[in-house]
Amino acid sequence: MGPVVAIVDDDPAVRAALTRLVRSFGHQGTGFASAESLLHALDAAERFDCVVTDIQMPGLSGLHLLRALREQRPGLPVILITAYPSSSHRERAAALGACAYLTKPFDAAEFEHCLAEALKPA
Amino acid sequence: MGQVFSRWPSAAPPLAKDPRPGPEDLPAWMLAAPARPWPGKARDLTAAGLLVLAPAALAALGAAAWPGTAAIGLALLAAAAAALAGAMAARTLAALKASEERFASVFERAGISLWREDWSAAGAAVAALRCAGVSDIESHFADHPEELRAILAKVLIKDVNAFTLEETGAPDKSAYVGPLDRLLPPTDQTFVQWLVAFGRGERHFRSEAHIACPDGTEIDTLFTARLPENAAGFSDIVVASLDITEFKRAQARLAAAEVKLARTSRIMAFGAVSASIAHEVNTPLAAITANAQAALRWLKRPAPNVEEAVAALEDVASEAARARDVVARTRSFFGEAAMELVKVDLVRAAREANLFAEAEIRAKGATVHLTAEPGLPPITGDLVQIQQVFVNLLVNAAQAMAGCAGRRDITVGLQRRGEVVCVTVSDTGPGIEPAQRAQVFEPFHSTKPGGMGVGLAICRACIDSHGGDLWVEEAPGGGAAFRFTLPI
Repeated sequence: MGPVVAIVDDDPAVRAALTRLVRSFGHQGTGFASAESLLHALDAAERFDCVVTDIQMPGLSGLHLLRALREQRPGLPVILITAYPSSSHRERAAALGACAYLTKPFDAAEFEHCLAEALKPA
Repeated sequence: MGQVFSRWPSAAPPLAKDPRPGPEDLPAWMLAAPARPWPGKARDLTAAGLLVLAPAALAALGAAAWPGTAAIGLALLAAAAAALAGAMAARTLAALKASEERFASVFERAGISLWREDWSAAGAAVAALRCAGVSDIESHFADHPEELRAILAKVLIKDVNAFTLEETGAPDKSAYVGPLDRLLPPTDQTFVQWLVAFGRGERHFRSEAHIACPDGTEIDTLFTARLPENAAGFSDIVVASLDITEFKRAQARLAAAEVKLARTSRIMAFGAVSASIAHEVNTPLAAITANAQAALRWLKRPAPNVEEAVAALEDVASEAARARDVVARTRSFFGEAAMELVKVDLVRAAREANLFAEAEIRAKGATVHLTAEPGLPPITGDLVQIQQVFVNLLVNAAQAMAGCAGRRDITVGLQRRGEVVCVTVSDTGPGIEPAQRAQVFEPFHSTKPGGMGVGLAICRACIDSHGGDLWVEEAPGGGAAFRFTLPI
């Protein structure tokens, strides 16, 4: 079994597509419709090797999720994705220790490379 | 180069078109019997002289014809009458003198600039034109500018008051007294409006003008005058003038701030809309890309997983349809659904657009001329969109000429051509290279520093949605001529 990647996106089509793409890389993909649902899963002791999250979402945003994960799971790598990039988001993501910041739509090879980097042992 | 205000043909209804107008068609002042010229000093002096001399002559005649007591009595009576008449004449003269002094005092002490001007030649010229059947004075002089200049040269400033000298720092009245044309810039368009007012028999005339002071500085003025009731009155028209230069500057600053604010608002609105569209379109695109690449990967494996690939490709198709719907929704939001169709008088729409754009046009030193074919039918369209097209074209024309030497004229022409109205907005700027003419209508194509490059794209979209065409040609003088048609 490969590493487990959590895909957090409120859009079901994007969530399904990214989960399918992650599986095509040979990883396990699990989709979550919100940041809150991922945090609940972590509280329930589910294990993930990497989190890929959208930024603009109802409820907690991807940046809020990143901040929460830095506190609760400091070693868990996080990749941020967005359909509308902004320099301020990019800077905040970098300051909070995100592994990568990708703009939708992104290339599969680029995504695979980012995931591989994120999943490297520290 | 003096800045002039853009003056438009008056909004008042056109005069009768009868080539030989009857007396009822002419202004009252052209028909009124000449009254005594103000203040009529010579005439009053003559009357007073007769009052004194007539009894004296009677007395002399009486003494010569009937010597004797009766004659002496008659002579005494006549002498007494002469003395009485003399006293009355003296009182009349004194009253007249006092009246003149009061007028002179009021004229000189008034806290506003007052000018006494002789417009006799202009009045006579307008009367001659009207009697010859010319009803559209403005168009006549537009076709015969040399006549207009000749009349202007004959309008004389006879006197100005002390306030005028104090306000402008002129050393004495000789700086002003003389032909009016020395004070009007060559591009002035207000003078002809005086003649239009004369021709219509208007009682008052008010307008703004840009004039050159004797020291060479140029000021904006608001002037007002009561127009004469008879031909003789044209020899002495009193014009009150108010210096509104500072007011106009403040107004221009405010207008510039408003333009800047509107531009900032537009940019922010554009940013918000484009962010929304980008998000709406990028989301299905992200799903399409990820699914397509996942499908490829599943199919390229040594043992292809067709089931996964098919599921991914089905999602590609559904997400492509979603992206198409986003584009369709956006188009319908900004497209025809937003139009409010009404009957639109294009001449009026052009005049109103000129008012909206006046601050920017003036700031660039441009002058707008409107020529419209009489009796143009209205078109059916969205008034706001059509005004927007006029505003964009007028402002573009003014901006295109901003750095040009010489005249900066914008001509707006409206003509009927079959079942469409053809509108031309041309300028005397550098024009647009033939190779650039197609590109200027592309969105985000701008030749102006800081320009967004959407103005002409918006114009073309508006005209397209009305079933018309918009294109650009070279103007006869070498500038740009934007033309558009709108179906009647």
